[in-house]
Amino acid sequence: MDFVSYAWVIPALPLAAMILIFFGTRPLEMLARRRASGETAGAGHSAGHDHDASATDAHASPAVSAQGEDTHGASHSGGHSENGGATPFWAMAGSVIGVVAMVLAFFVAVGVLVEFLTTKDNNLIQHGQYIFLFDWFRFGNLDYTIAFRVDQLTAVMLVVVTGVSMLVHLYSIGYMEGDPGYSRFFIELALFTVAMLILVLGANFLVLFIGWELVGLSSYLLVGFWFDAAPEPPGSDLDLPYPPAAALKAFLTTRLGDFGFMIGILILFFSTGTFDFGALNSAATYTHVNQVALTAAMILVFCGAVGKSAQFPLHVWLPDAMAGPTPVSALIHAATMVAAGVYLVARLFPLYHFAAGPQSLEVVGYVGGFTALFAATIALVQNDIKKVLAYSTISQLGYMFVGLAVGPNNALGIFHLFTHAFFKALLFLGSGAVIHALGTQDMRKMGGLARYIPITAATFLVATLSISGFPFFAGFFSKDPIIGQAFDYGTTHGGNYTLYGLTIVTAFLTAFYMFRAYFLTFGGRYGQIAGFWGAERAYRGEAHPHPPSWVMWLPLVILAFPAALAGYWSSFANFLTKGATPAVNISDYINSAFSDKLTLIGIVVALAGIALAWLMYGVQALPAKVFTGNPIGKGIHALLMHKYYMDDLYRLIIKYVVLGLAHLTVLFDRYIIDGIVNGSGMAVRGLGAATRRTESGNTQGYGAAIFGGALIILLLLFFAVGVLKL
Amino acid sequence: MLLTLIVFVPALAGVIVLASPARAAKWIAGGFSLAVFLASMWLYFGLLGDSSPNFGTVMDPQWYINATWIDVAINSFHFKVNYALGADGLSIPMLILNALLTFLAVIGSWHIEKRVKLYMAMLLILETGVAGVFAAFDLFLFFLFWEIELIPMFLLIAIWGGARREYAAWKFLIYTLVGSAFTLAGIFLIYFEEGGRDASFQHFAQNGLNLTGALPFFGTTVSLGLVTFLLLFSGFAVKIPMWPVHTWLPDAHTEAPTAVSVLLAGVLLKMGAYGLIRICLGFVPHGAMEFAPVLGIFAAINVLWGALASMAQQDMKKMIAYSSVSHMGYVLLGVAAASAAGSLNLAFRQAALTGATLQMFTHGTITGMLFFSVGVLYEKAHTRDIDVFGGIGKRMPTLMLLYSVACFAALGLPGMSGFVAEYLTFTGSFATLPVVTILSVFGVVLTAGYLLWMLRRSFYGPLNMKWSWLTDANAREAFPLVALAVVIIFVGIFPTPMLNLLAPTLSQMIHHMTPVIGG
Repeated sequence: MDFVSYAWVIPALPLAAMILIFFGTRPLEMLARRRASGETAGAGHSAGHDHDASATDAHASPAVSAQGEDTHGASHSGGHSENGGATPFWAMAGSVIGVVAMVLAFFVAVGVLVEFLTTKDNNLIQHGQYIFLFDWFRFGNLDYTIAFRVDQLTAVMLVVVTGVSMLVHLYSIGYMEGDPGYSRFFIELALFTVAMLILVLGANFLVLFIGWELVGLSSYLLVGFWFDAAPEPPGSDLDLPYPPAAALKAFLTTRLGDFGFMIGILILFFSTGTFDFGALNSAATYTHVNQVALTAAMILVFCGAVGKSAQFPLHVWLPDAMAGPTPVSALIHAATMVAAGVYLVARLFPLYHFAAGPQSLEVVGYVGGFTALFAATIALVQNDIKKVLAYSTISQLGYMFVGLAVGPNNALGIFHLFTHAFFKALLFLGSGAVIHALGTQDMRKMGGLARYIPITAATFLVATLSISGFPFFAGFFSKDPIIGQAFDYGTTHGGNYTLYGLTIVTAFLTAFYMFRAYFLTFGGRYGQIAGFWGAERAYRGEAHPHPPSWVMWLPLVILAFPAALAGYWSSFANFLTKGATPAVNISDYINSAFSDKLTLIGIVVALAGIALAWLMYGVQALPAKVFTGNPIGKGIHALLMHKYYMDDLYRLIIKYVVLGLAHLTVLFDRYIIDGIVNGSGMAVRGLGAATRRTESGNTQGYGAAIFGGALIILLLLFFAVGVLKL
Repeated sequence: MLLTLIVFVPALAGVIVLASPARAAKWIAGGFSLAVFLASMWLYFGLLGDSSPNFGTVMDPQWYINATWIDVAINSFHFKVNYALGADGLSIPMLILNALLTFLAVIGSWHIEKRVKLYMAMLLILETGVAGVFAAFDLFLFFLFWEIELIPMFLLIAIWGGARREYAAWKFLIYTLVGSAFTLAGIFLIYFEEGGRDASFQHFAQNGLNLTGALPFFGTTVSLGLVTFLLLFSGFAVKIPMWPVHTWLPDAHTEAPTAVSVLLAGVLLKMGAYGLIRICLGFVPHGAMEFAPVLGIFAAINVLWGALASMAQQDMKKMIAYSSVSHMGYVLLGVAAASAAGSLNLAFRQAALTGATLQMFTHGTITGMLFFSVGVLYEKAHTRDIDVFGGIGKRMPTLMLLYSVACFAALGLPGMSGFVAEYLTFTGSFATLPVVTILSVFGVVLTAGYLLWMLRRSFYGPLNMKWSWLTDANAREAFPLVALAVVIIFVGIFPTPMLNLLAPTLSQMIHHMTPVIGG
């Protein structure tokens, strides 16, 4: 079957689900709720909107909402009835529509991928399939076309996006159970999926940018999903982000990057007269283009990627974005949307690699490499399980950029994107299961949980091994080539091994902090198998952990397979580069991974990280005090706890520079411009005493005023005509 | 005939309202304004019949009517005013917008109790004045309507306004009158320079290219084109409003009642932009070309200044008023870029001008929606101070949804019309004015900042219990918001019909200017 021509169905399905829920099941749910509240309570909350007043009041009251999300988690644990416990029928119907739509979309996406894998049609392999939707407008030879294009890169992204989104939809049925905004959640989730699919399907900058901004919107909406939450009370050291503030920060920070992105698009459009990626990526377009302008444009386009993919210095929004519900963190802020920046650079790879100057990819590589290390160091000291994962996401995205910068093609970066999507989604969904089970995300109140929630623990361990680069897991096959290629890049670039150094150190830190998180959460001292498995004695919290329902653990189990095995797609590079890279069979692929000295170094580094984490947190043979006990260690620890003071720096800039300028403009308007205006206005009004006594409705006065105005016009007119000697 | 009806039926309805009992006033005004809106839709749909519809150009207007009105000749002084009305791609969207917003303004004013007959009559007479400006095809007739509009607007602010209504009304009046005086001088100048016998738009459009030469000016000379341009532009600059003659706008908006703010931002500002494009650009291309780089700088100042000032506001309405200053800067940018000298692909110019024109329409709908949203809130809470609220989204989810839609439309989110207009303007204007375009693009970041920051402070967070009694928007209050949202989203997703309507008119204009500005 010709799946590729019907790729437009993939975004159409979640779009249809979104519309059905918004105009169908959600109004029905509200109607049912209003009828129910009319029958039982009668008084009070007759407004019948989707925020059931009693539930949200409880949410906001200081006693319960000691910590933003804890409240949420707690409201689930033990089936508290404050949210009405179960999800209402029509809300559930809406979410089922969402899941069904995503399952169908996933199957179409897989069909598209399979078609690309099996096709013999050389035209399809080389150029992909162009799907024209409609024209906005054409001026002369400038086209503003709404069109999709499916090629190998898009096909991979389609499977990742629909696959993770499908599982997150399913998982959310359990995680969001009984939430007053349940229907709204599924609308926004579907909106995100549509936007992300538009982004990866876009055949030109116009469509990509539309998707790009719309994922920004859905990220804003979902980070701020609990928009009525109360801020964290002072005194808590967990530094949980506050949803309304986090949503704003996410949107504005990424928009700052989009400012550069937009200017990059403008330069490219002015130089080439086209938005189309096919035309932009062919060398012929650039015969007359100034290379300096092109290099600048590509660096500016990368600014957009820096914002969206949370690279230094615009990374600050992503850790705060964890204020959103955890399924959102898994889908948007780990697996898909934050990878959009990587996708963007990969999409324009020929431009970066062949057309623009080498500086453009150097910027990509060094920003990525620096961010990888920078974020990994912050992750070392986090106590919030989601924060660890957030910083690890930033760090892994950095790897992807390094992969794009040092690779001969875009396959290295995209392969890591591909594997990362699965294991990072799994990590987040696993952490969600923990939060759901305990009502806290503070790892100091966890420990030994593998005893209570073994499926979650086992799948989490798989993902942790994968991200740490443990041999034969997916992350190993995608991350290690990047590190190796970074070394080769150093060799060919005059022995500058900076990128290699950054990535190898990060690899060590990654293994360390991920296993630290694993031990603190699931195993630890007093745990079984030398701390690798849980035990009741190892548990430090009070709440009784309860296991997740099947809708929650099933996605974990499903994701564990690609998280472990995605690396065995040995012909990925061959597929993505349309045959430009030779295909390898699996045994060669595995053997080649060990024939290399660099790879062995990588393995040793990863194992060392795991070992150190085991010593410090698995068996606690080496207490953390050893490092933080001395003044230098203490200072570094404080620096990391404060995230290098980047947030404070931004706060100062906004408060004093931006708002300062804002107040200056108002003062200028009030005292300088209006000073002049009021001065001359008073002179005019002084001309006639009648006008001074005007009262509202005194039409005579207004008549006089207008007549006076007309006189002024005439006087000025004669003056003007006289001066101009007509 | 259709245009005559659209222009004068509102005034007639105003007279009928004054003569009828007070309780019928709203219904009469609503009925007539709806009828006028439907009639103005026919301006567009009536032309759609052919397979390739002709939407007209300035040389070949549609729905054209022309009759001699005043014809005085004293020696060589020949003063001739024709009653000439016409419509083309530039004016049809504005006429529709005017009729739509007036209709919605009547709905949105349903709660008005104070002197309701006079209020409704003034709204309707205002509609006549504004429609006349967009429909006139004679320069003197244009100016006549331009001045007529002042009276109802002045009274609407001065009688139904807030605490400082007199100051605001006077400021509005004086600013506009002073600006208009220069415009009138410019009208006389261009009229006599180009024969002094014909004030029809066609005549000026045809002969605009001849407006060359120099005038003595304090010992030196300035080009006639530039002088004419600047004189004509003075009145338009005040209306748009362009920095630094913008300070009447925040005061007028703050004091005006909701519906009047909607009309003020929605269509009155567009009169200035319309004059700039139709008259300054179309009739004085030499002057436009010379002034374009400066206009570009003013555009960037408008965008950034308006956005920064918005950020410092406590009053929601004042914030939106300043955001209008910012958003009208994009119109200035597009116009400046379209008329700036330079030899390049004409399509870039057309993209910039199309973006600017679309921005006029789109700003009318989006800002209208923003003002209506604030109005709903203000009618309940009797305050517009952003910080006294907090968490009210929980009590007003419908209003929050619609207000958020308006905010996202204003900050240029794709899927809504503001994005199309901004994207077109930027992609077009970068070709001729790259630096000011880059500065203006930054306005998009600031816009997101102040709008979302406002939403966060007022609607998000825990509910401030002081406002626990607030009720959500009812159907009547939500109607104008939903209607505008539909327009905004439709144009945002499928702008093609709208752009096809604009294209012939603007294309003719650009091609006509090519000998002057290069191409």
